[in-house]
Amino acid sequence: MRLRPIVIVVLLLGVPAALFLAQRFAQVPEVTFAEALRLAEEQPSEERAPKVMIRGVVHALAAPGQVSPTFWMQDAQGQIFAVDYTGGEALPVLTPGTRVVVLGHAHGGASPYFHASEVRRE
Amino acid sequence: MLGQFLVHGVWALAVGAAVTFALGRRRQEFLVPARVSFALLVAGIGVLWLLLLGAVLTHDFRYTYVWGHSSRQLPFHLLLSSSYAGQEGSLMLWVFWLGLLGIAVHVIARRQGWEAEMMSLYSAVVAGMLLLLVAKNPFTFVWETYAEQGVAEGFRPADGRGLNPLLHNYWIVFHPPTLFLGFALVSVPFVFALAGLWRREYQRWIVGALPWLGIAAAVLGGGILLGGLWAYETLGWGGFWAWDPVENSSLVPWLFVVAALHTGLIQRRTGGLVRTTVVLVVLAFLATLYSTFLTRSGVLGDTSVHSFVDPGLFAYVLLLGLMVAGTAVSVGFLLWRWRELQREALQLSVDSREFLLGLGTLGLVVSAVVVLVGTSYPIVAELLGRPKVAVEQRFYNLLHLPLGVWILLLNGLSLLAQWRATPGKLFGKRLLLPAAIAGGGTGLLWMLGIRDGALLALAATAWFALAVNGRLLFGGLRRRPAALGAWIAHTGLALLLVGVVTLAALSWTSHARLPRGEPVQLGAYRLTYLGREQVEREYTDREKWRYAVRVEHRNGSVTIFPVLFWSDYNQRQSAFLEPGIAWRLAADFYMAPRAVESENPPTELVFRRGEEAPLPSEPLVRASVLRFEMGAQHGDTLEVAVWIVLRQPERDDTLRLASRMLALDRFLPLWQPFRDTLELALLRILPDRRELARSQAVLGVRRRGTQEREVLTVEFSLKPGINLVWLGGLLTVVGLLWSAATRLRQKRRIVTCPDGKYPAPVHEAALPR
Repeated sequence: MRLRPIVIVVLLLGVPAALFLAQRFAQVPEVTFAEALRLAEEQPSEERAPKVMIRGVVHALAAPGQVSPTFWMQDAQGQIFAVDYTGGEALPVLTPGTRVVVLGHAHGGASPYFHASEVRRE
Repeated sequence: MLGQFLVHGVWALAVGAAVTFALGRRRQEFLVPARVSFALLVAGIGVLWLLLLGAVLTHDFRYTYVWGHSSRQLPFHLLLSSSYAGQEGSLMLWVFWLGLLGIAVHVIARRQGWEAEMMSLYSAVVAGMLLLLVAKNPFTFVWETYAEQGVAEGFRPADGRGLNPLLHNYWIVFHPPTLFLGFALVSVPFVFALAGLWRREYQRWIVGALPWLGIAAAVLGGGILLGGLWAYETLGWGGFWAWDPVENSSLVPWLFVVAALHTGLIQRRTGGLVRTTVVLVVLAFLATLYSTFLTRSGVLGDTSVHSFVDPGLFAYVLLLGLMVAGTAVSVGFLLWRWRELQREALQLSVDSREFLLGLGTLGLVVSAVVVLVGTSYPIVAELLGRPKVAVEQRFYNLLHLPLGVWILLLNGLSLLAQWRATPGKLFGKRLLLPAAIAGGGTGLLWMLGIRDGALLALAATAWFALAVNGRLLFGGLRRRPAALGAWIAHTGLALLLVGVVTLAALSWTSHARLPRGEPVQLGAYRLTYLGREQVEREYTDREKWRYAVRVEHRNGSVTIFPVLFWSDYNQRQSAFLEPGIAWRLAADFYMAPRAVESENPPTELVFRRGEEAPLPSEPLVRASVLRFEMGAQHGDTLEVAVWIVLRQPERDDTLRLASRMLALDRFLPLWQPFRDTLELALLRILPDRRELARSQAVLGVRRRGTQEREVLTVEFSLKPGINLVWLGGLLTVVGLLWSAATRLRQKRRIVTCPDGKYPAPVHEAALPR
């Protein structure tokens, strides 16, 4: 028997199957800011907090000339928190009341905020 | 300045050596300058390494790298390790190993008569790595890095930023050097393979490459094992293995190397699977480049527990370019000789060892592909416009359960089979005992409470492989010591997986709040928090506390010491945690600190001078700060005090509340009674650095007789089988080393044969039955 056909069949079936499963197992949990903070505090260092997603509305924008935070957001629980965006893409146009989804992780401490790597309009 | 120039000069030497060795293939006169270039290249790399080491050891903080990764506070072993703790330093370490290995490769290449091809390719590999060092130069000065911030030329910071506290572990001394040596070693069989293609010697290359594949597998495996031990002792890294991109980056080359080692054995035995072996060796090397790209380009962003620093656009493009160039050259060589590599396809009998070994190797390749897909998924997702997220650990675990079964089963079966074909009766006879042991071992795990079908299947195949290899091992101790390496390595792998199954199924974890001095029952264990002590007090950049918890169990008691500490490294914003581990034969006790809090804490009042507030539970008494006072020195503590006025309807009282200030702004409050019911103390002072008069005093108010009690919250785990993981890993590494050493001796015998030629590949007809 030849090994080659077996190898080809296994790889042809295996790679798409692995990709499909990877996509299934790569979901970002949707949380509130309080939950994001809790997840961050469970980590020994906030930089390694798991990536999470928060849906909500833009509460207020930064004052002209102000660099950080980027804007304030209100989540489904009504909590208002600062969002610091440091992603590579340009921010979409935001106005107070815009529905947005932010992806990133929370930072605790005296002034908790959400460190976003992605900000998308809904 | 010397270092910066030298990096460029050494890179030029590597390019020069690569070109002149290539030219020397046709014209011998080029070989002399090529050898000189290579000798200078190796010497230059050595000097670069010594320069960096010297800069680190002498605290030359003019260099951004030294300033960013070391400090005067570091003990010697960590100072030494800081020379490779950052990106630039680790690249330097990799290059250093390549330079050192280059000496051995040169000797072998000359002995083999492949000097021009092998050394040209090897120099090109070194040049590629050095190019990264050109982009991430460890000898850049702080005034160059921070020119925009106006740092003056010649500025020498008084101290460095220090080493990330998570790296303050003795494993940093061993793990990175071993891992990078493993990465460097992978390039040796790669060079053999491409040189074989270049010279059209499609069988001879594997004779030279096999021992190097073994050494690379052993060293890389050893590096991974040491990393596992380190991760086990560090909280937040998810235990000994968490399928993190950085961990996966070292696993994928290892899997390809081990796969190539097995197909290489088949090639040596049968003359077949040449293309497969070349492709696997190339994939192993490209996997090291891809790993470098993944973990150093910043493309994985925050999808890993390891921190990735964005290296800048230039380094990103270089990394990408290096990976593309490496792939292009490798694919180019393969396509160039592909037709010649085409030979009559090997027809294998399904009951032959080579067929079963081939199928087992396919399992390793599929495992490597799965890990690659999982690790690369965040990049794929980003390209598809989806959130850039790492896949969960469950993805890897789910797919590796059947893969583990496949690999272990075929490992056992292949060793029961004979080369070419195995008579059914003989196979059945050999199968009987290992199958019985597998059944018994699995039954034992069932009795211990493991009910998960997939884990039991993995355990059964692990026992089976263990039985087959164990039997061969003991039988072969006297008769075939040369073959022991493979059996030791397989036994190790099987033991490791028995350990993983035991750990996955029988681990037990529980949380407990431990008030100081009060025993708390947790299942069969009685935990008592005994107290804490500050350790490493000689370092002022950290405040480290060791908590003592006694664990009493059926057979005695043991005290475990989890650690919590704060560091200047992150401005003490959040604590770093270290688990306490009681290493035990059957099952480790593993204790992770989660929180330290006070029971019955005092009510806190924060005042500036002149501000006034009522006392809790005594609203008619209003307190205000009169003045601050720096008191007397008591040994290494300083007494600070605040004078407060307590305004009451009948009269005013003035009270002096003192506190002993320990090192690092820690306060030891001295409680003062007030009336019959209350006690007051100065808990701490919040200084206003710009205007000292506006500093704030934090006063504590509590009921008299109330005892504040410290409560330590811990996560307590039992880790059965963890020692099987370590023992199995160690045996795998030892077996691979043994095997490599054996092949090196065999090869040397062939190399030094009188006519200087290798035997022709062994053909099927010549194989013994």
